[in-house]
Parts: sequence; structure tokens; C-alpha cells
Amino acid sequence: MERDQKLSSLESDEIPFFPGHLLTEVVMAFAVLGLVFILAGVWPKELGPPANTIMTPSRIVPEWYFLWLFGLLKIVPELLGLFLSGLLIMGVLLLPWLDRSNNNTLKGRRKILMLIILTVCFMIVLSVIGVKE
Amino acid sequence: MAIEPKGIAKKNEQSLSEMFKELGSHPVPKHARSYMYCFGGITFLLFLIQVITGILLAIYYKPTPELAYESVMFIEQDVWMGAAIRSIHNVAANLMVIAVLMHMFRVIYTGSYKPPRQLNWIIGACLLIIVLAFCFTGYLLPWDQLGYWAAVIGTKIMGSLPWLGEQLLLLSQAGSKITGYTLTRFYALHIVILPVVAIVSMVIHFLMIRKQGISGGL
Repeated sequence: MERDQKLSSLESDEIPFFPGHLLTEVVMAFAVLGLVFILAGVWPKELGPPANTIMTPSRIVPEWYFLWLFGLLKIVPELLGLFLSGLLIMGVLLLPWLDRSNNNTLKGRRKILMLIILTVCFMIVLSVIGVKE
Repeated sequence: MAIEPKGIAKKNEQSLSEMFKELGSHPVPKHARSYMYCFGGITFLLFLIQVITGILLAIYYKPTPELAYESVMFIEQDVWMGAAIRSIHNVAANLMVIAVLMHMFRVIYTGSYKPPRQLNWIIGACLLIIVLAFCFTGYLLPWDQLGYWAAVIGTKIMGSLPWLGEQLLLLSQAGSKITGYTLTRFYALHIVILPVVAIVSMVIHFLMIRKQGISGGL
């Protein structure tokens, strides 16, 4: 009874968490779990040679998520690179205050969205530079 | 409800069935059932995978320069399912970075970072940095050539920061170069400090979303 009352009090564009939404979540969870197992089979993690503290390896490439920083430090002086990445971190943290628009549509937020897309594109370019010899 | 044992219910106290009813009938806006909204939950699931596989790896791993590589080799070759667990830990780590980024782009796309959720955006951004710190500290643990030199370069970049750099370098390396002390320091960060910080941040992240509600769609 009580539950029925609660359900009828839901707005027309809402559904209860249980069972519909929870079921969707469980389905997604199994899909992700399957993906993880498949990828772990396709790309087994290999163990390279042990650390040699005297000999630098001939070529070091960081993991993909640090490539942009690696690429950046290749093309600009170290201090400037650090300054720019500091600026990026501050920009991400302060995004709610950088976006001065007072409506939430994509059009209304055009400026900040363009800035973000440009930054992401730039980071992808930097990553490509990072991979190259 | 007759089946429920009689308790000493006080005012404002919820019975178990009431509690589950409330949780179960909590409204989910229809726009939030789009697949675009799944990445935060996926990140959490991947975190759970990392906790489980990480604990299993920690059972055999030995955090000293002499034994680390050997113990990882042992996990790879002799421990039952060891190579699989290590591969899953690696794959889930990479997927976690992807999932956090996708979650972030969804929040940007729907403008959900805007007030009143600005504090939750900051916690989310900190969680991204925590995930990257997990990756960085975990990379050194096998004490292989790649991990060792990645740590050398990574800490050197930190060390070239103005003002704080020198202190940061000493702090992160536990001395003036990468040694066994660096390894135990990274290990403590990777399996104790970062997980505690991550879990506390995630709890705040989730509670705030529960309290403030999922943001309206576009």
C-alpha cells in the first residue's frame, strides 16, 4: 500500500530505483566484467626485463594517459611545460567558475565547450608527439 | 507488518522494511537512464575489481628491490591464475582511466558541473588525480626496467617544480634516488594511503549526488 502510494507520487518522467533501474545497472556490470575478462585475455600483462639501475633503456614511452605531458615537455622548456600543466589542472578544478554562462544548453555554453574541445584536441596532438621518436 | 519482530521503535526511527522501501522507490529521472550516464557506476565497479585483484596480488608480492621482480615472476609463472589476475589488474586500471574521463566528459556535456554541484565536480577532479596517482605508484612495483625508469623520470619532473620541487623530489623518492625506500613508499601509497583517500572521496561524491539529486538533462 505504502509502496503503491510512493510509486504513484513519482513524476511521470521518473522511475523507481528498484527493480527497473537496478536491473539495468546489473546488466551493465556484467557487460563490463565480460569486457575486462576478454581484454585481459587479449592483452596479457607481460613482465619486462628487471630494473637495471645503471643502464637507461634506449627508448622510454610512458603509459598513454601521461603521453600528453611527455609530448609537451619534448617541445617546450621544462618550466613552461610544468606551468602549462599546472594551468590545466587549475582550469579543470575551477571549471564551474570559469563557465560564466547562466543557462545549461549546449548553445548557451558554446564558449567554454569550444575551449574544452580545443584543449582535448591539443592534448591528443601532444600525445602523438610524445609517441614519436 | 506481522512478520516483523516487535522492536522498540522511537520517533524518526525507520523499520527495516520501511528503509528498503524508501531505497527501492527512490526516483530515478528517465533521462538519467541513458547509456551516457553509466560511466560513473562503471568506474566504481572497476575500482571494486582493482580492490579484489589488488588484494590477491598483495598476498604474493614482496616490496623490496631484491624480491619484488622475483615475486612478480612467481605470480606470473607459479601462482594459480596469477598471470590472469595481474592482467585483469592492468586492464581494469587502463579502463578505469578511460571510464573516469568518459564520466567527466558526460558531466561537461550535460553541464552538471554547474552550481549547486560545483563542490562535487572538484571532488570528482581530485578522484581523477587519485586514479593517475594509483597508476604512477603501481607502475614501479614490479621493479622492472620500464617501471624503474618511469619512476626516475616521473619524480624528476616533480623535482623540477619551482620552490617545492626539491622537497617533493626528496619526499617522493625517500632520498636522493630511487631505492628500496622509494619502493616501500610507493607500495604504502598504492595499497593503503591512496585507497583510503579514494574511498573517503567516493563516499562524499556519492552522498552528495544522493542528497542533491542527479542533474537535469539538457
